[in-house]
Amino acid sequence: MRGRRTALELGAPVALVVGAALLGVLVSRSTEIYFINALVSVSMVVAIYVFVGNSGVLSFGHISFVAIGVWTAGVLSVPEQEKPAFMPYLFDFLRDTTVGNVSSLLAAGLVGGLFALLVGLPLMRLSGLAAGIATFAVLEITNNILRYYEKVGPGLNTFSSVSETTDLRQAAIGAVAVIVAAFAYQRSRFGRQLRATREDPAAARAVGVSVYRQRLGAFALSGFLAGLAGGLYVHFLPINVDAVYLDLTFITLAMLVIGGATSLWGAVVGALAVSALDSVLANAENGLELVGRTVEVPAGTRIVVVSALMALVLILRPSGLTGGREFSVDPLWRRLRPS
Amino acid sequence: MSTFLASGLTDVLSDAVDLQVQVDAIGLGAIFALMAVGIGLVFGVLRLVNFAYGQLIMAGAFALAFASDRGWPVGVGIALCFAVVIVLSLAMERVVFRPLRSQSPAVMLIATFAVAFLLQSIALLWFGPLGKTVTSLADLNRPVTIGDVDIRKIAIVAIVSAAVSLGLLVLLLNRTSLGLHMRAAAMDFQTARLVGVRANRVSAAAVLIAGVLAAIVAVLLTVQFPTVTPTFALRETIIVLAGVVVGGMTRLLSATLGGFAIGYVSGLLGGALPTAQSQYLPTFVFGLVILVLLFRPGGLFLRGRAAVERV
Amino acid sequence: MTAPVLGVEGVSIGYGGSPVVRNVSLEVQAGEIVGLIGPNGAGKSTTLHALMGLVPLRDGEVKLDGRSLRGRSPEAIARSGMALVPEGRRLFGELTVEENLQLGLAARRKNGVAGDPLGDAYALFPILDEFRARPAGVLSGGQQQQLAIARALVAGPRVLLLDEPSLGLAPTVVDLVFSTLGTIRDRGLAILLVEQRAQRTVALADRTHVLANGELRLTLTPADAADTDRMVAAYLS
Repeated sequence: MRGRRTALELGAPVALVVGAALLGVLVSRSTEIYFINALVSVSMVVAIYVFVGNSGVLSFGHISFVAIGVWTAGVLSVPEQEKPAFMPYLFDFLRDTTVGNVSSLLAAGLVGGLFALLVGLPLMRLSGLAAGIATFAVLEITNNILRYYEKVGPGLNTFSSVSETTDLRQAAIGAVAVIVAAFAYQRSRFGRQLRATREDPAAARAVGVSVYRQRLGAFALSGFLAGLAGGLYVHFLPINVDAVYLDLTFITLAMLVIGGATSLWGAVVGALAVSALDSVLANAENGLELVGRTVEVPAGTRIVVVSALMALVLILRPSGLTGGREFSVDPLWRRLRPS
Repeated sequence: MSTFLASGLTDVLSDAVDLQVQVDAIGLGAIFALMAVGIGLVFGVLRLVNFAYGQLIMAGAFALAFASDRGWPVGVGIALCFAVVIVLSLAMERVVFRPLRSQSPAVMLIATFAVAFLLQSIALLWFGPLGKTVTSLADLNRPVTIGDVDIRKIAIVAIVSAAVSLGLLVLLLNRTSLGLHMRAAAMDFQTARLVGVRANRVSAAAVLIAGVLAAIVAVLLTVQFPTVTPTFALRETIIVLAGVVVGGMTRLLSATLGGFAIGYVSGLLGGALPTAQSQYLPTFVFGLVILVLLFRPGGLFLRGRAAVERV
Repeated sequence: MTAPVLGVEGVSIGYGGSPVVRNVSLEVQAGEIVGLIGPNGAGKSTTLHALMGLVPLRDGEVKLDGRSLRGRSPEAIARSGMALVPEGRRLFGELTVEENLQLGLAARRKNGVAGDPLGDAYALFPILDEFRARPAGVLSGGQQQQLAIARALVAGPRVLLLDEPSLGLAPTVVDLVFSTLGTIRDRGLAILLVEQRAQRTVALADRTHVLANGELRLTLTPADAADTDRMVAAYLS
């Protein structure tokens, strides 16, 4: 039944996120951090999915939108008297403006979306390998500029004094909001048209779908969501320019690939599963109590495991853990029938 | 203000024409050209951009460090470097590249991205973030006096190695049947198979040659940068990749020229420009990459069709 | 009755839903030409691609001298003695004529058979000798077709598959190509000729099958070449 399927497609990821949040409430303060991190990751990965999953076009550059979100929300949230301490060269209007929590998040999203729109205008003509390389170049350029252009942010310094408003509740609300937006998009006419171009570009064009325009729309939306995620991120941890660069690009792409790049369910499952694995390993790096003995895993094992897992998934099951499908309770035999 | 700028510019220019700076820049260009060939060859035959190429160089450098630590003779260290890089390259080809052959180039890009991180994180685990230092090759970093100019030996070694390697490669590609098979596979892989060219063999050959080049680069880079860390050569790989795209990915010659050009320019600017101005170098380089991809996808040194799809 | 060199038994090919080619069986003996004609989209090219291992078989068997080729890679099939002259020739335009021929040697089995395969090719197609050192891209359509056939022949195959060799060629050139095929047949090769030019194919081949909608409908002999009614019926059935 279509209604039930729609409800599950949205409900399942939301339920998973809410479940994770509730679980986070039950654990200790120190462990809670992993849960908040996981939920912020969900926002980032779903934002990336909105573009990559629906268009089938690879993007290495989305973390630059997260970075823009971090910078926007961060610069606007630091109290006026603290700004000169680590951001002495800011533009006047940035130095003089300070906004509240929600406003900073919205601003982060808007600036992220605008930036994505500008970047997408030329880039959305590209496909495949060229798109991958071009978006990687965007990541490099953004990182380079944010790193040295001290009029717009802290440059090489770390964001400090940003209000730590991303607790479990804010992270969960943020994640759910991003999921709802992604769901609304993929169910809309635009989302459907874009998915058509992914399946069969020639046929889609033949029925009048503008590949360029649909991709641009998704790119801008995902830029907005990624910016928002960046805002959540900077209100959670002290961020510096290297924290929104290659490592974060890698881990978010790994989450998307491992979960299943072509479905919302896949994006959420991937983000939570890899976060869980990552947290367990991070804990193990500090000494893990396992059946009475303390197992100590050397620092850096996490990335080894996650990257090995990502490579394995790509080689053995490229559609990811979820097979790239939305959540469904169809009996197994119905799924095995050829489409 | 304008006189200040003018004098600054003449300073930069006079620094640039300094013979020492020139030779160093050509030396760096030569090293980057070798990397470009490695990347371009694998791309040509396998249609795969190997993000993890820098990690091969890193592995070779660590092998040198390993030998240097134990006081082994330089020759043994270099042999170990070659052995490690070649084995690792072939393993990569067998385990990662071959199963993914039927996938799109974008998927292969992500896969090599994952492999790059995997190798980097293994190195981090094994050697720690501070890495190791190679002392055995330090002699090559010293200058030799020619005329009244001091030129570092390594610059000469780099230029000669690059010239010899590239010359041998050209001979291989144009005069042997394996070379012919590789060139055909790069032009039209499917038809090449139809006339009997062994896909696995040309793949392995391309990867092997790229590996040998990576080992050479590892030796050359270690002389100039004796401290080997897990992120060794990652920066350089990304920059060379940019150079290859700008030069023209689909032809080996243009890819090589692109790599050389970017190495040369980096060397010049590194030697001649004060740090403040060269900060935004990556922005210009990657901006150029985007422009090339949009308007001249075949690259700057190339005329004709490109292997890039556009909407 | 000797065993056929090429045996195609109950072959079905297709992706996903319904097969593109259904239950096709045919055989080709040494020293004979078998034609395969049919309307566009009937599955003729697909069949040849499947024989060369470019497309997987859903069902059925492909046998060369009685040995099954199913599941083997295209280069392994080429090395076993089957050669395809692809639709559109698929030459390497930037390589010289000589280099294109040398590429064809890749499939040549090292069974000690002496000979000068390149020399034979130049003897069969003298025009190629003239253009030996020129890039293949400068040749005319007809010359390229000759090069494509020569490239397939230097491998010393047992079976020659041709995918619409007359496409885009002037009638005089088609004459040349078809008469060359006759010469090749007389040397003992088994030839499977896929073509659009129905009448000429039926006249040349020892037997011609008609493929429509993925199925074999009819078999024609040279005697039918003049009987246009039967030909039309074959297409419309």
